[in-house]
Amino acid sequence: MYDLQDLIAALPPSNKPLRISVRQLHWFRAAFEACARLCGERMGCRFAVDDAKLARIFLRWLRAIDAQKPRNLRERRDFFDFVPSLVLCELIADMPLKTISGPSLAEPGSAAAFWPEGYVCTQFCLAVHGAATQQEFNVRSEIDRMVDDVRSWYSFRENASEDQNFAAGFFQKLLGHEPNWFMPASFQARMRVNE
Amino acid sequence: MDFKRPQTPDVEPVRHMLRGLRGVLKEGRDRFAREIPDRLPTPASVAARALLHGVDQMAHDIDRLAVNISHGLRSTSPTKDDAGRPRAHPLADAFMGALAAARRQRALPDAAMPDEAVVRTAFAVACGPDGPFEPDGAASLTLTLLAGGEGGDAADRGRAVVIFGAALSLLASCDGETSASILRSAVDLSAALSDDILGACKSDDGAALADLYRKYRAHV
Repeated sequence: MYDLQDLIAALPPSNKPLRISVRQLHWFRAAFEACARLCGERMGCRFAVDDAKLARIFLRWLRAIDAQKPRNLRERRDFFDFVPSLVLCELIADMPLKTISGPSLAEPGSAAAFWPEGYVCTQFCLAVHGAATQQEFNVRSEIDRMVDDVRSWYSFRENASEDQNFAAGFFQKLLGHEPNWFMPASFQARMRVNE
Repeated sequence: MDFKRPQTPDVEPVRHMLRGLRGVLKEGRDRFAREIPDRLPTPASVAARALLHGVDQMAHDIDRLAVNISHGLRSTSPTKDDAGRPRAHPLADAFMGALAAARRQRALPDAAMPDEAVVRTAFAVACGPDGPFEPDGAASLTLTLLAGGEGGDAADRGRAVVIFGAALSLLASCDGETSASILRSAVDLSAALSDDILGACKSDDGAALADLYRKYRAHV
């Protein structure tokens, strides 16, 4: 996996807290493009971004947040960790990235070489979550080592093609949480399992 | 007899001061967030986070205050220009520019859009001659500009996306000046919302349209 701090440093600046900026399409898009550009340079890959798809993904994500936002403030931190998994679901289900060339520099057999678009979308979610977590809680995200295991990515890609919600579970695993695999994209279901 | 036009107060220093105040708040907030909450025991840590939330809200309120002051001071300007003609709404030019750019972004022919004079009149009616541009006025403007359009559903959708996007970009920008990035995002968001926008327009539901503006102006 690429250094998360490098990806975080590549995110566009904002004079607002990131938890607010990321829910503004102009920042969300700029951040997504920055991640695609930086990952593309390292992978030797050129990507095209479908703006219309990205806007629809963003809108569905906002609605998913509204639908699942907990009323209990004590659940805020857990929801903070959960929310990026919802955007990853949307990104994987309606992939806004298209590989135009490459990947010429990605190590053969690596996750980036196996699935460049899925890899970039996941990196984007990790970077934004990592940056926002540092800002809000002064905590650095720990990413599970499965991120570098290409077999996890085989499973992720295959299962997400059958059920987009699988992406939410994969992301929670990356953050070290055990998802509810029956309903990985449901925050309340996840809470009940964890309790 | 010479009529001396009253001096309009300069908005920029006030806004500059508010920006400075906001910057100081943000700096203190970030330092506090970095150094304090995690060192405190749980009850105090919760209180500290509530305080941080309050500071964020205050920063947001300062942003809104800057906009309101800007609009308020503009509204003290005379209602007629030097030649005695009714003065255009201060944001009408910005809206016309946003509308033209949004039309180009959606590759809509110029002929598909309402005439400039119609747009300017509708803008003045929707907002009052000098009133602030708010979601209710934006909804009224949208319904007026879409009324009487020709060309079927696809054309209606195209026009609705452009008009809603242009108005949304104006509502979203803090100081009434739309940057290219804000405009582009507003139009893309408008396209993603096109079913909701068309639904509200077809049922002539100004309240539903205003709710869309109110909700999504923060998400451009």
